[in-house]
Amino acid sequence: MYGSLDISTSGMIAQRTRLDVISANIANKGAILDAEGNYNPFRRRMTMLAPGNPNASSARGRELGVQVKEIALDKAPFRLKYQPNSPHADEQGYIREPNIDTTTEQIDAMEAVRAYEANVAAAEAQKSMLGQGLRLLA
Amino acid sequence: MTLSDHVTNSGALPSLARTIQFAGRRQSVIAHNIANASTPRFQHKDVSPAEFQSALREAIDDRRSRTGGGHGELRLESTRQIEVTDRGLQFTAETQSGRGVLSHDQNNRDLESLMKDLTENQAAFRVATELMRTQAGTMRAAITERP
Amino acid sequence: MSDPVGLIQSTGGTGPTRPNRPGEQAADADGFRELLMANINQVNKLQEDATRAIEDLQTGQRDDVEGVLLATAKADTAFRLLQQVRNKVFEAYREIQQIRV
Repeated sequence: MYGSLDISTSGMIAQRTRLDVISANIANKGAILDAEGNYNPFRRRMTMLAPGNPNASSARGRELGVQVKEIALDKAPFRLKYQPNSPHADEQGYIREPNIDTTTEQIDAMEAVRAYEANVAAAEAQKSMLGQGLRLLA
Repeated sequence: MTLSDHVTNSGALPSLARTIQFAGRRQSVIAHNIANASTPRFQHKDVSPAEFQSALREAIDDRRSRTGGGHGELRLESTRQIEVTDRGLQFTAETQSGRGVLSHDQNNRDLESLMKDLTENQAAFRVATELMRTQAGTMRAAITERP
Repeated sequence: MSDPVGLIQSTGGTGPTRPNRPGEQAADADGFRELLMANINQVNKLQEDATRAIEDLQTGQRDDVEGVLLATAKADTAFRLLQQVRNKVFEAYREIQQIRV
């Protein structure tokens, strides 16, 4: 009886995590320093999903469903911006900026929202089917 | 045991009654967690359904070995989180760890999991009450139907 | 009960009907009783199956609610059918009791 909604719930949590990561990327689009103040441009984060969910309470939920395997750093090179007056400019006068494209992030965000809604719909379908099944009883 | 005890202890009725008690009380635990989804430093605690299910399984197996399973008293034993009293079940909820990332306000919320708990618990309650209604109805039909 | 025309005993074809011999009538009655007993045992088994299914669902040993609902509905239907058979038999008995000879 318990565990029928594990799969949809794991989907919702995964998509919400994606959305959080995307929001972090957008917010840090111009961050070239790290938290300690060193010159360390922000690297774009990518959410890596994998099937299965070890945190689920049921065996079915552990086998099916989805998990956030890791939040990986994008290996793409930084963007170069010509700013010779900046204290962080290199010999040619370029600074490196985070490799984040707002449009791409926004599109990913829309997709994550749609996927979240789809998981909610799947959970609602599960509930509705149970209600229908209960009508078998006299 | 009284005559009516014999009737109310038949078949799956006593185990359904326990499930209804468990799900009914757990509903308020979950509602408490959801109400505190934004409270700083709040750690959400829950009663483990797995613990209840294993205690119920032991009681059912015991009853089956005593009487064959179709009748007889169901004796549910208390567990660490669940105390069986005359007035029903009393809970000592323990923190579920690893269920949510600690947020900046130190609340280990995971709203989706809480909503899932709420829905599943509600469904379990509903299934148990519907089954009890049917089983009790069959019994009533057997008792009152006149040729 | 005599059955001079052979209406109760099925002949299964267009062959000529003949009156029942006493031994055959006893066999009919036995046949019905056996059918009834088999039915009662079947209903009992279905009820036990349903009880076990419900208990397994609650203890987490099975997680298919639909299977349990089906088993319960099946047992319920079988029981109500048996009940109606019992009622009809009682009715028939009452009717016969009231026949004035």
